[in-house]
Amino acid sequence: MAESVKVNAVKILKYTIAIGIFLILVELLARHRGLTTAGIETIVAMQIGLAGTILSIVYLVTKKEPMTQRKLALGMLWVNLIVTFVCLAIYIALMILNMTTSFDLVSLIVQCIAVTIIGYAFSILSMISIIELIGKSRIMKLETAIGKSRSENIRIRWSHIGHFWKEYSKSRVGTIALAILVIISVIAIIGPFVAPQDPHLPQPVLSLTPQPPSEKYLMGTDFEDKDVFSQFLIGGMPVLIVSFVAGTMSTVIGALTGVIAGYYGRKSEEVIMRTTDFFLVLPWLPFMIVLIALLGRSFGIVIIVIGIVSWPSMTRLIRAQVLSVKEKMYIERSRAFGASDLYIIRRHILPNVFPLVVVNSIFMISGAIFSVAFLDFFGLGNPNTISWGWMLERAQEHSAMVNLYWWWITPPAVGIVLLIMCFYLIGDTIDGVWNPRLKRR
Amino acid sequence: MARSMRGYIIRRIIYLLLTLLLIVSFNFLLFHVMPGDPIRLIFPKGADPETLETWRHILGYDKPLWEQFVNSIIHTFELNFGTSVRIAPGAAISDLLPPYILRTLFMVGFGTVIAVAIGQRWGREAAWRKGGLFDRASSTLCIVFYSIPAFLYAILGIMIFALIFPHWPLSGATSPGSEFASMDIFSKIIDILQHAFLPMVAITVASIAGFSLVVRSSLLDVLTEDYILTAEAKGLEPEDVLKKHAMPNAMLPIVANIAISVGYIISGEVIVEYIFSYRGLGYLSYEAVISFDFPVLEATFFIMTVSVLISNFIADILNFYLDPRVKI
Repeated sequence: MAESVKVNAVKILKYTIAIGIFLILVELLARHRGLTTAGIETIVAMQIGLAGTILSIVYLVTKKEPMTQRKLALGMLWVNLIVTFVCLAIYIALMILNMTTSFDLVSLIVQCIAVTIIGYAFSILSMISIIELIGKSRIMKLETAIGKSRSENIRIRWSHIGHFWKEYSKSRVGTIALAILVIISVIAIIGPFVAPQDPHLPQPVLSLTPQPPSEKYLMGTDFEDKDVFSQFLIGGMPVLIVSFVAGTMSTVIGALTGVIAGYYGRKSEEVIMRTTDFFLVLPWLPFMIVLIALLGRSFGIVIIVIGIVSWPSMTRLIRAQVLSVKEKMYIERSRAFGASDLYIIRRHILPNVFPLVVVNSIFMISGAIFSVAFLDFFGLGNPNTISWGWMLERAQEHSAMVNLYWWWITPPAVGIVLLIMCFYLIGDTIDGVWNPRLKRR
Repeated sequence: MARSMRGYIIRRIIYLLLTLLLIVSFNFLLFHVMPGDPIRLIFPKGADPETLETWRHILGYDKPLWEQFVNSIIHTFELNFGTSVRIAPGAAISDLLPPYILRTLFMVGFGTVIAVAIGQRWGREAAWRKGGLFDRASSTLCIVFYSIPAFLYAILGIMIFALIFPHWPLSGATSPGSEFASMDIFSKIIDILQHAFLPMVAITVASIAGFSLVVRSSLLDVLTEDYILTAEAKGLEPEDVLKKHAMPNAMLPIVANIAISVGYIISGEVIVEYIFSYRGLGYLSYEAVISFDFPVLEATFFIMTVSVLISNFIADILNFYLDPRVKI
């Protein structure tokens, strides 16, 4: 036993060194981009990783002959995940608090990606080390004793996904929408790196009137001689990120409140449903305008505001579904066997509302793109970031419509419409796959 | 039955008043409690302290919070929205508002009526020819229309009109100086209608697709019912089946949806007014945001919210007339 601990300690050391090199690389990349705040995420990630590693060592030392190895491994996974998420939450909160109007988008993206990747990398790596420490064979033995082997479980899960994809790809519209969405996302992600000109800098054409498309400037130039094509390439990212995060946020709020209202009923239901009633009366765009006017303009604020404004419809849908599931016989029975509320919600309620949540989260994202475009166009987005709505706002400000500068208006407008439409159609198709009885419509 | 109807309406009115009270409190929370020192939001740093104190007194921020709250409730029922700071410095907002409200009401009211009329007709035809070429084409078209934000219609409208009719007025609610020009009433009306035409088209087109989808789906629900089969079996004309048996029953969800979508139409209205510089409530709130005139912003937000509330109330009452089941 002592021998194996020593061997494994060496393994942990190896992983730690590898991660350290990785961290330094990320840090260098961030420095290269000229960011000063980039140190924070590495510190947070260090905490996560250290917590994971130290905890795993403590576990191993104190419990040399553990009761069930699998439980231990799972417990470690949960600890790591929770630590990751708590650190992420703290970090995001810090980021939003520190966010000023002069916040740079690229730094936001780099930081988000870095925090996520590092956090998950640490969780997974320490997980791997634990599994290795415990010994693979014993886990496998235990799992075959339970009934299904690990690989079989994974196979079943994959076959679910394969089946879903088979059903999904039957719909031509859905497939095309997915393809377009993938293309737009790829453009948005690689856009900042392949943009032919610097979108912030005037080009040396010295005309100060928008020029129609030419060979060098594929989509022409705008009022300040800036390249529209480069702006278009860069402008997709903020729309996608903000709407995705905002949509997810309102989905989470809506699903949580919906499940609570539907399952617990009584007073909590009364309070939540009256609140949604009230929020549904507030017209959404004026409400968002008021909130942003009072809170300031930045990505974080826009995300929070969209989240606050759009959760009630989700709550109502989820609550209705939970109400219809709650009365089912098997839930009554499992309660009779002494299952706790939390267990019933986790094992019976959540799986039943899950398809609805997924479909509506996609619709939420589609709605969030709407809102982001509106806010940017109204001049209430982050004023220092190039996004499609921002491009349209500037075009409107310089009366590009009256002068028919179509090359300036069309790209961002088409981008926004395509995004909204793709999300809507994808949601619709998934809805059709999971709720076949709606197909007759 | 009459008594139960009166009871229903009284219940609805009490509910309306309660929600109104909630809205006033919420507005108070937003504008008076949340932003720390509200006067600091309106005036930049380094403003003259004497001016600050004067305005603090005028806007009532020098009183204790509970007194401000009671005042704001009383003022709401007196239709007193306070004093404008920047847009019309020192003027009472309630004097400022009526022309703005009238323009927006005109726009939203007509826009909604036209959108409902066309959308209802469109959805009906699509549902009646379910699965046919028209239905499939219109479904696709609906999704396309549904995914285009209102401001893009406005932009498209401006571009088309700038191309075809170079002299068409593209911004403002009236021609500049028309209040003073010696025009007869007829040409004044034409001027106003010309200015209102494009914004109204943008608002209408933006909401037609939503209405048409709702009408179609609720009508499809009704058309699968047994009494439609009975009506057809009796040998009624298909036209009669649709108009006398199916449509009245499909009306309920449609009315409810119109009430809900008033909030969306107002939202679209804000942005369309901003594009066309059409001086309605939306444009006023844009000006208020730009110039940090928070009392005006508070007033416009309150009026928009209350208009949604009232339209919901009207829908509830209509629902009562349309659905005999509520009466029992």
